[in-house]
Amino acid sequence: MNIEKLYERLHSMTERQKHIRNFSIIAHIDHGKSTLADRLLEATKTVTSREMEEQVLDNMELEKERGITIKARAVRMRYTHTDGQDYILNLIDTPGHVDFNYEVSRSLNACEGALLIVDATQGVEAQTLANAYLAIDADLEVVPVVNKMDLPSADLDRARSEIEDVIGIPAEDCPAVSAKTGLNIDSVLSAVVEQIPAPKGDENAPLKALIFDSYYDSYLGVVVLVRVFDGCVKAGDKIKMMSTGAVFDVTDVGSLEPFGLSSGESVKAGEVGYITASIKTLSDTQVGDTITLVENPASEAMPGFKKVNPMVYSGIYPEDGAKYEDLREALIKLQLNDAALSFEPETSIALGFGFRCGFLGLLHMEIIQERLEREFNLDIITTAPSVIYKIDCKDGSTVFIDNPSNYPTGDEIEKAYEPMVKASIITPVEYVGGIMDLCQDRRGIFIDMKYLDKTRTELHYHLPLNEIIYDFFDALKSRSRGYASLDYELLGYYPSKLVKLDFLLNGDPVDALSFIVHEEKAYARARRIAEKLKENIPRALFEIPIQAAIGGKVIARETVKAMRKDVLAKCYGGDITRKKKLLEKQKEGKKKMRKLGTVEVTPEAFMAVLKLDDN
Amino acid sequence: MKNIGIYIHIPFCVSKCAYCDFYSLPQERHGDEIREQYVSALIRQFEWAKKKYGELSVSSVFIGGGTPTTLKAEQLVRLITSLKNTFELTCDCEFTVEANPKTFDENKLRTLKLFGVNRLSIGIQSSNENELNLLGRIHSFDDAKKAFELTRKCGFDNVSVDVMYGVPSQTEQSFLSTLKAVTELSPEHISVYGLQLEEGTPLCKNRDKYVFPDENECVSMYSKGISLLSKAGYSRYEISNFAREGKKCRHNLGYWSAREYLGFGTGAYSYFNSQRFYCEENTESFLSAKDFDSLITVEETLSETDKEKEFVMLSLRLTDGFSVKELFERTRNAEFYLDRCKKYIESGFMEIRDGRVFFTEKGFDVSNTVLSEILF
Repeated sequence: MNIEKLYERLHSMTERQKHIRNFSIIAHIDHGKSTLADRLLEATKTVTSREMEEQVLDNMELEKERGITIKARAVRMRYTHTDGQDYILNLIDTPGHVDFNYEVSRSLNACEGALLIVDATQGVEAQTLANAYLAIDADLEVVPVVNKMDLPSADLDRARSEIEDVIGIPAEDCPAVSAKTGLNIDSVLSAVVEQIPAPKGDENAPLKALIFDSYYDSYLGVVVLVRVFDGCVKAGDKIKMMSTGAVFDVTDVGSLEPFGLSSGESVKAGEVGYITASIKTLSDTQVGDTITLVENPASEAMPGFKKVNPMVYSGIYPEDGAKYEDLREALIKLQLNDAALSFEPETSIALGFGFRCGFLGLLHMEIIQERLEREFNLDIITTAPSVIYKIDCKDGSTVFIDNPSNYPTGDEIEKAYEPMVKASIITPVEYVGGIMDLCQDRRGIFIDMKYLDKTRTELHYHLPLNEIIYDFFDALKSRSRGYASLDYELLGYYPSKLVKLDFLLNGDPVDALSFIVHEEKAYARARRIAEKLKENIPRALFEIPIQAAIGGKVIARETVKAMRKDVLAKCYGGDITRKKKLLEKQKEGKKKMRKLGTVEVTPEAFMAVLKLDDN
Repeated sequence: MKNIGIYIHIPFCVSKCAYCDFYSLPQERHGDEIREQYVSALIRQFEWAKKKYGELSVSSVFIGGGTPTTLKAEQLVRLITSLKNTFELTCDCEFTVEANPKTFDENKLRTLKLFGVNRLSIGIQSSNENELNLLGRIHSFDDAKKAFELTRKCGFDNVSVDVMYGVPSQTEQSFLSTLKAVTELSPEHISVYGLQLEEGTPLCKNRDKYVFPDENECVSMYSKGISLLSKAGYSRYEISNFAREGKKCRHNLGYWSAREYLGFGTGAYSYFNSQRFYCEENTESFLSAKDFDSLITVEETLSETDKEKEFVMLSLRLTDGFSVKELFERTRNAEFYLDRCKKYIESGFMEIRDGRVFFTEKGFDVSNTVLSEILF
């Protein structure tokens, strides 16, 4: 930072602001971000170790099981620095998976600095790089921290030189810690105070508060998490959402504590806190929007949070058609906590009424599915994920297709395009061959390969998005014994030879099973899916032909043989009740199945079709 | 007076067969004293039932097990006499006793005959020694044949034999030779059961060690078996049962026509006054029981809907199914059931003829699937 800039900052800063630090922790997945957050909370006595759950910030059940942080959460810590002064440290947690780059950027925009965690045994990985660039783009002060120093294979020098060489930020004196054992945690807190700038902003200026997260609480309504840049907000204020114009009366403001909200007088420029305002209409609080006051509004909103676009679409249907409204309610609630989720109603001949949902990626999709099932107790059917295709039609129009059912017929298409991504894969050198084969198989275009050091390389590929949304990540992991890491960003639309693959059961097309595939891969894919369907369609009293077709032409065929015999148990005095219950149970089992024309299919059949791992 | 059927369970066997999950004790766990006490307890249970349910007329008795013929002749006499003294057996009462080929002699059979037993059911299962062995049977086919001839010698003119299919290592050919060998004995009644792997049985635990005939083989062998039996003069009257003219098992027909029955002994089921209940499967508490109420568990109290469903489910086990007229008389939802049957009649799994709805042979093979669709 140059002197003028520093001078300007000090000048515009109040005494109060000088004692605030707003920061995030960013890392590649499993590099110890959440564990470090736990230690910081302990070291600042924000929570006692008795209160400490394994990972306080990851308070969703699902996150614990998957061991990843899905949702950003913020927490306030109080810290007495070696200079004898007290500081307020607002930690904003961020997710670490490639699907959630947007959430990372959202959190980063609320901060002045970020701790970049690097695993001393792994070094810099794909998401370390991606997240570091996001932070640098957001103009944050990036403070590297080397973690896992307790492990025998920790290599501090290598980690430091990778940070300097690969990312290009100084790391010579960066903290080297073990979040697990608590080693050198104080040095991290010192670095936060000394290296991350205090926030600035005029608390007398019109209110500008940036929404970086929000969630629904059944008692309070929507709880909006904000970073105030200018001005001040307190209970009783009339606030306005700048993008929608919606107006609300603030009922409460305060700070974010590890175990909940703590009501306060106000949230002022430079601070992080929450606002509640009896907000019931969920669509009124958009993450990324700026909140201002109705009286004395800010002249313009905060400049852009990166707009998030779903990359993967799939249909979600209730297993029981009567639960359609419940599903809608659940999606609305999930969307509130997850700005990246989009949905709109759609109907399928096979599945009835449901929603076409947009996700950031396949992991995101799986998480939403699981949350619908666990938190909302819904049984759902998910159709094959699809990307958005761009079609130039012969009539001169251009359409974007997110649902294979709407794909134009061959003679309507002038030219078809599919989204490509720029993928960066970092891997130990010994797995390069296998990974190159994989990328080749997924229609990847090799761009270049760089050695990060003697043992690791970074591969760059251009890959069609539709080749990586199914199971690419799993395949990558299995070919590299879990060591390779992936990051990707959208490159744009490229012309492609695409066909729509339809599946017919007992002669009837099943719209929910259709998908778009590259011409060259259509035959192999059709055969594999027909086989999968055969495995997953229970035998019925009649034979069920399965056909895969492009246009009207059948390219693969399987048959589910008719059931010829079920158990003909004897049925005497003691068997009757049991027998009756057994028949009832058999029928219950069938109720879970979806009737597709004349064929009954288990909900699992739809998911099984998606798992196409080559190995 | 109510007319019912009576089942009496004798939970003793020489040894337990590899496929059996009925409640029974192998020989080493029951001495003569226990069998004696068991008969006494049954007699006390008769008395208890009479007090509880009043005078009853009985037109079928079935003593099953286990192996009833593990009881000594005197014990069987004591049991039967007491039964007759407690309940009123009709003069044409069908009185069946199950018998294992190696557990009776001429004396025992003559005694049974003398005291009114008029039907025997003998478990032969197979004429193939290897199959008998795998099933854990204690007799050879030769033993079975001799035992059968003995029943004739002692004057039994209504004898049923049990045969199994779907047995490990069984082939169509071995199954058909079993049926042929059995029809040569010329019993009045033949039950042909598909082997079921019951959880916890030795056969089930070791199932991976055996080769079972597959679904297609079972369908084919059973179908050929049906025509073999038909040519030999046995017509199928229920999913697993075949009989000569006039020799259907009255007691079992009772189960399939919602007739009331009382069961005595450990694990025995009853259906009486719309309740299905059973006696605890614990020999020790049964032997010492004074008040049998405490041993009874009600499994189900049947609603009108339950009764309707059971009527359809059970009558469709019979080859002549139910009559449409009776369906309207006995159920409030006759049209619903008929409507559900329609699809299966159209696709050849069921048939409607002379006012009766019934399964075809092809339909019987998948009757669970069809019934679950029709009933629920």
